[in-house]
Amino acid sequence: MPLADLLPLHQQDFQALAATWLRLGADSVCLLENGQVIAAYPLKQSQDGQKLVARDAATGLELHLYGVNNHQWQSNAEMQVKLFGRMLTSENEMEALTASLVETQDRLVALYDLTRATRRAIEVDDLLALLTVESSRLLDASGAFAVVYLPGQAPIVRQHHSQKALPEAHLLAAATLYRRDPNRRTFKDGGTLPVGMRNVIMSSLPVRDQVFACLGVFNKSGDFTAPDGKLLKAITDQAGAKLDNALLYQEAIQRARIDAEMNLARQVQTALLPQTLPKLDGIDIHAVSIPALEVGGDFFDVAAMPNRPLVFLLGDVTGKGLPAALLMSMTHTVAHSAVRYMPFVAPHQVLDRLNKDMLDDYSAVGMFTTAFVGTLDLPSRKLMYSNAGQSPILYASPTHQPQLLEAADIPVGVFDGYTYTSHSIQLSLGDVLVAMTDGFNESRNEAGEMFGIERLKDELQKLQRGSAREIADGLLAAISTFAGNHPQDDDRTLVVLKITSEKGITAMQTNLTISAQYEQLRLPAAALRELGTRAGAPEEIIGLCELALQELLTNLVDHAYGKGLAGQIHINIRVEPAHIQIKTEDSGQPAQINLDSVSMPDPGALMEGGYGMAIIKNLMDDVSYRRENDLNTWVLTRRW
Amino acid sequence: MPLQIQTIEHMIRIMVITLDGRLDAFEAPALRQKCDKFLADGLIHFVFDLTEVTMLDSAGLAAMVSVLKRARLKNGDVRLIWPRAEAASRILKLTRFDQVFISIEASQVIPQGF
Repeated sequence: MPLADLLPLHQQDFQALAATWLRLGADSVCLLENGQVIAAYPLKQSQDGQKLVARDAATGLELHLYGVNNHQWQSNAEMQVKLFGRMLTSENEMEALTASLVETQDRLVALYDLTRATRRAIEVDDLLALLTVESSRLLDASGAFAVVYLPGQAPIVRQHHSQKALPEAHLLAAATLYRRDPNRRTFKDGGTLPVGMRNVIMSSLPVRDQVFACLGVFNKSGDFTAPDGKLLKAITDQAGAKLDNALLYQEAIQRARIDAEMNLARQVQTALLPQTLPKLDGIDIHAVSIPALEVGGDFFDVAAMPNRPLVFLLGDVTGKGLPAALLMSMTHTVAHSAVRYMPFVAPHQVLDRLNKDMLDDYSAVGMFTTAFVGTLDLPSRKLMYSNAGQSPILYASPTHQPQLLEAADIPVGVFDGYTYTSHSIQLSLGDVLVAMTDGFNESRNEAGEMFGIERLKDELQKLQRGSAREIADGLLAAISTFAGNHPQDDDRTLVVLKITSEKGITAMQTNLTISAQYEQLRLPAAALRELGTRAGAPEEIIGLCELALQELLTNLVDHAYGKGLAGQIHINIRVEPAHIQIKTEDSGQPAQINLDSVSMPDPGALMEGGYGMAIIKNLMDDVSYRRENDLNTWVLTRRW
Repeated sequence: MPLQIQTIEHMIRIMVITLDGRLDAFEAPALRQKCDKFLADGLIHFVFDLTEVTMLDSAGLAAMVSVLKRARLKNGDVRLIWPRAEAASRILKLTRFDQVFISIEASQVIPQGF
């Protein structure tokens, strides 16, 4: 502040000084600052004549005493001008100090308000809005902006501008200038600043590593000063912690959202897997899938459909998380329909189909899936399988130690047009097949040691006499005991199949019609044998029924129609899980027979007939005859 | 005293009938027909070799019983070489004809020692 501005406050002091000199004979007295008159007394100034000049070098003040030529006053005048200067300088400093104190006070109050406001802003957007509004106000500039760079995401940019908002790219350009040269905090328009920005001052917010955030205030009339810089730093210093919290809060919300989505994905996946397993005579099946913490890529399926082999499959899509889960869902869907609707299902064909349908999807993301597909022909117990890199698959029989069925083929989703191969094993009573994903053998204990395939074989040998469920539970328990507190890293999925009777029975039936002639009688017997064998009925029972059927039909040809009479016999043969039922219908003569009184003739009597019905009664558990609407119906049943 | 030589020639005709396949209501009439002819020719000893019979029903059995009955009336007999197949032997046991027919081994068709 020029000293002249302070002079009015000291007019009287100056007049008193001037009056003293006038009394001592001066014509007039003038005070000058840097050569300019700032005070004169009396106002009418003598322009000529002798004058005595006293000068204070520190302040540039000069005292001109007109009409004084006595040099003995020189030192007095100099002392007076020096005193005057010092007084005014002190005054000036006091003024400046007061102004600065007031300003500081204002800013502290504003900063306090800002701090209080930011405490309530827990969301990043709210916080940045508050920071830009308040910092531009506090620094008396027309705008402010904030940029937050988060790893792997587009930067967050917010601005407050009293005029038209600047394009985001301009703000990012300014932030980039500062990022490149963080020590230089103020930039002025010199071709470097983006259009619309005259000057800018920036400061970074202290946030955790990997995140860079800065606050810039721009377009102040005049220039940003050092105190502006200090104030902005004070704002950013305290806002940094707030921003960190807000970012953490935002991440927590995002993570919670992702967790919820993951849970949903897991539910969808779980729902895809079979909820119930088919119950088949003589074959015990059990399957379990225990997902790791994240959604994963394991899947399995078991399909039992009439007149088709039992199909089961198990697979493991590489990787974890949503990508694996998505591919797993698609793969499972393709496999699910393939095993059910392919005209003839062979394991290698299921894999060929999966590879063909899914190759593009797998290639696109550089992933693939291992898979095992097995079909079990129920009557013959013949297992066919094809293994696309799936391990471990263990096969155990009562007479042989568990062995590993090697993965002969490459995973699905690797090579276009790869052809898979099927292998076969004849299974028999007590045989066990366990198809697992690598979540079993690769389970680790607290020491980091892997469970391995040898331990799995040992465990299976101990468990193989149990049911399929007991085997599955036993293996899972063994893994869990081994792992101890080591968390489950990967999904664990297994399908256990055990042969519990020599031949399995599925309900099957056949119908045929013959004409009542001897030469046609072999057809029903052959049909019975074929059906019974296919359905897995005991050989002994098939033989008994064959004979009974033969005897019944011979009787019908002989008696119902009489020799030479034309007619038809309808035959229905059903093989159920524990019995065979033979039903015939004919429109011949009613049978004149009392079944209760039928008994086997004495062989010694050497009778040449009359054995047929006795044989039938002897071989069958139930024999019934009914005459209705001119129709004879015979039903023979044999259980086992 | 010169040696007195007396000779008796035992001419026993044994008809061995070897069957291969099913002996059931359809096939039995043909067997009956053949045996009727043998009986008419005076044959009374029969061996039914059932080794390869795959299936035997009451009509087939009746055909054999018919032969047996007529053979025995003339002091002859019918013997059986037992079938291998259960489907053939089942009816013999069931009707207890296994106790009526004498069963022999294939090697016993010619009397012991020859």
